[in-house]
Amino acid sequence: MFAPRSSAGGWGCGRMDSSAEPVLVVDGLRKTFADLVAVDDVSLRVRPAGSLAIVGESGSGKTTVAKMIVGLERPTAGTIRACGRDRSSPARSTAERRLRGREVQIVFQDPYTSLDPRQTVERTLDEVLRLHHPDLDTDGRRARVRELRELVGLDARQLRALPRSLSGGQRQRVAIARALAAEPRVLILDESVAALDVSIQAQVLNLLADIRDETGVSYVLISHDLAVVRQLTEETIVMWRGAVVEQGPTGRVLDAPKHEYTKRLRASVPRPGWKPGRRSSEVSEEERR
Amino acid sequence: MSETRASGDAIADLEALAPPALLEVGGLVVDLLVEGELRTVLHDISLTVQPGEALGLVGESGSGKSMTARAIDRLLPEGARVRGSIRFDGRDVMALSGSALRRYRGEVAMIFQDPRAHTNPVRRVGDFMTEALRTNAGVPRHEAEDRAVELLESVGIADGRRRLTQYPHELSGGLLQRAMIATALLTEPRLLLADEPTTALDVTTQAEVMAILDELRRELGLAMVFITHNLELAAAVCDRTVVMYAGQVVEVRSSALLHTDPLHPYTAALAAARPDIASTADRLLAISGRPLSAFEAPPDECAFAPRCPHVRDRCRECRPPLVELDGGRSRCVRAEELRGRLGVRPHG
Repeated sequence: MFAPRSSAGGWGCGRMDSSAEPVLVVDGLRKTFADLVAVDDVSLRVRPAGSLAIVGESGSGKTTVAKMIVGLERPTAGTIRACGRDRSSPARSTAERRLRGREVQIVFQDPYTSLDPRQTVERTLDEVLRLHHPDLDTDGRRARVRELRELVGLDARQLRALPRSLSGGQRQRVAIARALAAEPRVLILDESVAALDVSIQAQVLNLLADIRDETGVSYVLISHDLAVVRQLTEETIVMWRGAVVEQGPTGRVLDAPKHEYTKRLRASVPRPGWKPGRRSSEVSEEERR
Repeated sequence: MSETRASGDAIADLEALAPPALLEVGGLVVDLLVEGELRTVLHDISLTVQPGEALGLVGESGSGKSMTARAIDRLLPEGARVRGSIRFDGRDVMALSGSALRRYRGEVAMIFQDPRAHTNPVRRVGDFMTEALRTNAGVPRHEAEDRAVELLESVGIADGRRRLTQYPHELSGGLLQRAMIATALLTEPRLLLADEPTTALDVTTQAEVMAILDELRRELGLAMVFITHNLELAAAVCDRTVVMYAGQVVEVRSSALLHTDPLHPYTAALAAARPDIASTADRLLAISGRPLSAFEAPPDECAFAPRCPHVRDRCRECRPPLVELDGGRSRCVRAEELRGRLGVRPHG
């Protein structure tokens, strides 16, 4: 259905065998804004075709970690390596920036604002291909656009549409196709299914699982939805106030959480017979501000 | 259910015994003016809320759940055409105007998803909290502020006096939403219309806000219509749940039975499509296609038919009526033959 282009097996830099080095290695990552420590000593590994979740509440630093990995924020300290290449400091050249784009891509939460309203889906994808795969000619790009379209389950008519005439789910498929057009080894999904209706969310989650099977891409999922985390990832790190407070296999972290915050997070998920709890300590803590 | 049919008199007696509903919406149809043409956004909405009851209103985007709340609070956009009836405590809501309408809106208070979008960033918390009391009820400022501080305390904000002098941006999302709940309670409402009040909040903050709503409701005997896209949340915190699809009510069910014994294939499909926090499914049971808006739904067939795994030819012959079944209601022509077969199966 969707054959990886490079004969080396898998996309971009590396190979797909499981014995391979982690495709993403983050060590001692730190980010401060003035005197606020947003991210404090975060380390993580993602293996080829692996899937890692970062969970935590707003302000826990999870999105800042994602932004540093993709290159939208500069780390205060620490190292980030993707495909064995350092990306801790800003790219010095256009060529370097493009190379990094073929290593890590990101899909944001809001499919409504992350697409250019004046560009058809086809042109959006074609533009990425021109940038990242200048070796492809017009026919080659057209064939590739069709492959990407089929991969994310859009039809030919939707290819010629502007974002405003697409539904939320369709737009998020376009955003995923655009990110995949660069053939990244790591795809960061920053709350990418959070805004979707439940019935559409299930379609996109199935799609993401298929894409990983077919291409060997790795995922870093930023999410507050623990059921989505369970469905899509094997490893989970839990962040609280900028630091990693718990990490391990997703099933273990969710079924037998060890840290107080993870326990509270798990207990806060509505379920039959659920009685929401008030936590007075946290309230008074915030009120002292 | 029971073999003996009650006689007409007995039914009348039963109705006299049952407590009168606080809110009664009957056959509500709303058309909105969109680009010069009238489009139906709500079709034949009927629901009741008993005093002190929490009723969930669940649906995907475009299902009409927020529009229903707006219609109840008489907040529909200009040019809206409304048919059917809305009765609150025996009063005809559609006929209210002027001071009677203002009084009604004090009795039926609304809280919204995004408190920041509903506050003026340059006005202090104390200002907007006490506005309704000062302008509508003529309560002196210091008295209104005392009441505000009391209510802030009841939603877990201890230093209310200081909060009144702050601006919205100085409060976190969870804190501001709690202040909005306190604001809604200032006019001593009997019904709270809560439109996705926790959707923008963190999961742990959501739990806390829900706990506060739950406690207050019980203490004050307050009824609530809780609007959410989250079936699990509605099932957990509401007594009964109304499921909406394409501007129609498709199911009314006791929340305890919503997941285990739903009456409409859409409710069952919605529950089955959600990933499970306790296990990883091989594949999720996605519903094909996308949700329809009310105006897209054909007038003479079931709106869910194109996506329904249980569809038959007769589903396309007429729009099904909302029928009573097993203590709930379902807008499915096959409801009776499917009863007991729609509960959530384990994934896989």
